[in-house]
Amino acid sequence: MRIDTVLLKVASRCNLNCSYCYVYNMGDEAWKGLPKRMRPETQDRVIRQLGELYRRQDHPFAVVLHGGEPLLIGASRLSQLLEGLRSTLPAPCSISIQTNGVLITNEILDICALQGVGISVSIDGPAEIHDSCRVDRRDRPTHAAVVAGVETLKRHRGAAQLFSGVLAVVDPTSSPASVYAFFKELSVPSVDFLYRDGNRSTLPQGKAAVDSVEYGTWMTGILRVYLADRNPPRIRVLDDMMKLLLGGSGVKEGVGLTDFGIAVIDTDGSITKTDTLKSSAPGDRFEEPWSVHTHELAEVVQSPAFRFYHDQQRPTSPICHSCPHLNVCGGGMLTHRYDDANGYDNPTVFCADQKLLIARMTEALPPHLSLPAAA
Amino acid sequence: MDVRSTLPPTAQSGDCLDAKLESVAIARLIEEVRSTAFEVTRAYNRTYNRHNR
Repeated sequence: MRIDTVLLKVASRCNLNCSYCYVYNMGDEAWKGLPKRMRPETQDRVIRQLGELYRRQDHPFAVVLHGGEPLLIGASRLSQLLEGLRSTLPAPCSISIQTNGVLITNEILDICALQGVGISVSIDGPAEIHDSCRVDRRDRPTHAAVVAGVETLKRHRGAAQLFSGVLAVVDPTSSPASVYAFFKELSVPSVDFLYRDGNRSTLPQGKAAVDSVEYGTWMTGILRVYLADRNPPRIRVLDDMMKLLLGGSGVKEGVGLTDFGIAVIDTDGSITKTDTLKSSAPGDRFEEPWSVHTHELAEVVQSPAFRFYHDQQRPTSPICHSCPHLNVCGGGMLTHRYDDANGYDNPTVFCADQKLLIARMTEALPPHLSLPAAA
Repeated sequence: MDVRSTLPPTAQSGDCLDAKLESVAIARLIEEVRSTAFEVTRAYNRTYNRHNR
């Protein structure tokens, strides 16, 4: 198996307290026992082991600084970390930061530009939508601060390389056209829309029943304005799904059937499962306490236990295997398939939503199109 | 700027089918799929990792 993405948790805490956060507000309490920031000795081991993984794998992968809020480590530590990472992971390995945007400064951006690091900002849309969930630790709105961070990013001389795009969590009660218009106004290069986490036993916020289609309906609204836009940004989830319908390939986790290899390293150096599983199985960890302090990452990812975890992403439900949309939907994210009764052996809780969205996409694509890769 | 004001009437009326032949987004995707049809399917663009959060 091959690693695509290493999620590096450089800070276990966050300066925001978003109501839907799978790290802090969906039952997993592991963050409380972790160092607030990755210590220098852990960081040194991580850098060396990622370099070793690259040499052994002989294939590039992405490193994403994640949290919590990764910019909480401060400019000085960030500079040291990025310099170390880039020294062992030259292009085409990508290094990026997923941030809430509040702590973006020109000093931070200069450091990122120097090391060829991309920045993705989490922002959900207009203030009234964003601030309904994305608040600080005193429940104060954060939209103005995030927009200020995005504007600082856009003004930077290296913005074209620095600014990757935004992640937006869907509020299915909002107006898709208004959200799309907001991101157009903000002039972001790309948007990825995420469904709120949940599963078949604990439904995502805004979803009334497993077979209801609030999220699918909302996404078809985005699809409508996206397809009609004469100068559209990139919308990753829609692009990936339509590429699959056209016979191409997608890259996004939880879409399509391409295996996704992810390793997560926490601030204490422990090697853990993909973090989104916190929303369905709080406390789910590898049986063996793998850590960069006691193990070699390149060996861990080749172990039978890691491979078992990796293979869990492949859909197992007979319903999925008889579904004509499986090659596009991919069964959704593993965490969204969970049910208290039988674990992950189910279609995604967003199955009906995805079917609706795929149907609308199919209608929108030219019916006569037959591309070479479609076989 | 309100993007809705820049959309053609078909989009404002909510009909994807009418928009498909002139959709920039679809044309872009078709070209990308065509150009990568015989290449390794996994892409590592600088924009995104594959993680979904």
